[in-house]
Amino acid sequence: MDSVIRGRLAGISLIVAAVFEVFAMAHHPTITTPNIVDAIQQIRRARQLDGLVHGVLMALLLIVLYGLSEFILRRDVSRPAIRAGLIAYGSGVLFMLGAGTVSGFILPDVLSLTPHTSATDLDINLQVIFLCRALNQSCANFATVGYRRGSFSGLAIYCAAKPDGAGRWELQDLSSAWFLRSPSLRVCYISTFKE
Amino acid sequence: MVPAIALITGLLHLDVQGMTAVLLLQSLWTGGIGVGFLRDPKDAWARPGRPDNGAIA
Repeated sequence: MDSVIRGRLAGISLIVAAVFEVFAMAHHPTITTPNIVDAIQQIRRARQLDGLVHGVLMALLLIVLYGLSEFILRRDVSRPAIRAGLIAYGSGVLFMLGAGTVSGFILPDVLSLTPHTSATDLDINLQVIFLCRALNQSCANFATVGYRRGSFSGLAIYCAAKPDGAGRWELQDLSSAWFLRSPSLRVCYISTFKE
Repeated sequence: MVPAIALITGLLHLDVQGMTAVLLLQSLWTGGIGVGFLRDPKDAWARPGRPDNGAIA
């Protein structure tokens, strides 16, 4: 495929996915009560919306990965740091898909299938909610820290570094790599640079 | 800056609010790369000295 078409496709994918990610996240259902009975009812009522929001977010993660694959190819995937970034980012996406599956599909499905009439049922449901919450948080934390620290900093530094591999830096390169100005990336950049 | 530091340290509790902060930052980054692609679809983000522009032979 022509590089112009590939570039346009990647650009549109990344921009559309970025916009819709924020839009979908704004519709993420939340539990507003500490009461277990009410919480179960809220989760059951929001089951379809939960599945839709998480399904859309998971699809958008893959679309972003597709767009970034063009970026990675252009930065030269044969370079070790780019490959390392790709592996870190890819594993982060996998774990984020896991977090979305637990939160968006497994928990609502389990709560819709299990009884919650007796005190024992409610205790079991509470344990299930805790388990799903721990799984979701573990996966999301791993994904967030892993793929940002790994790929963002790795890719950003190697985007800004001189291609001759001499380890020298040019102010012009750094200022042109404008995406480094994002606060999180700047911290990533500083953190990795110190290492 | 709190989400930014938390992203590095892993201390962010990723509830809906935390995840929204993460997604916003990520969207800025990926959207920015996307804009770069649309501004120059042929050569955007291409590594200097790599004329094939990532094409796989």
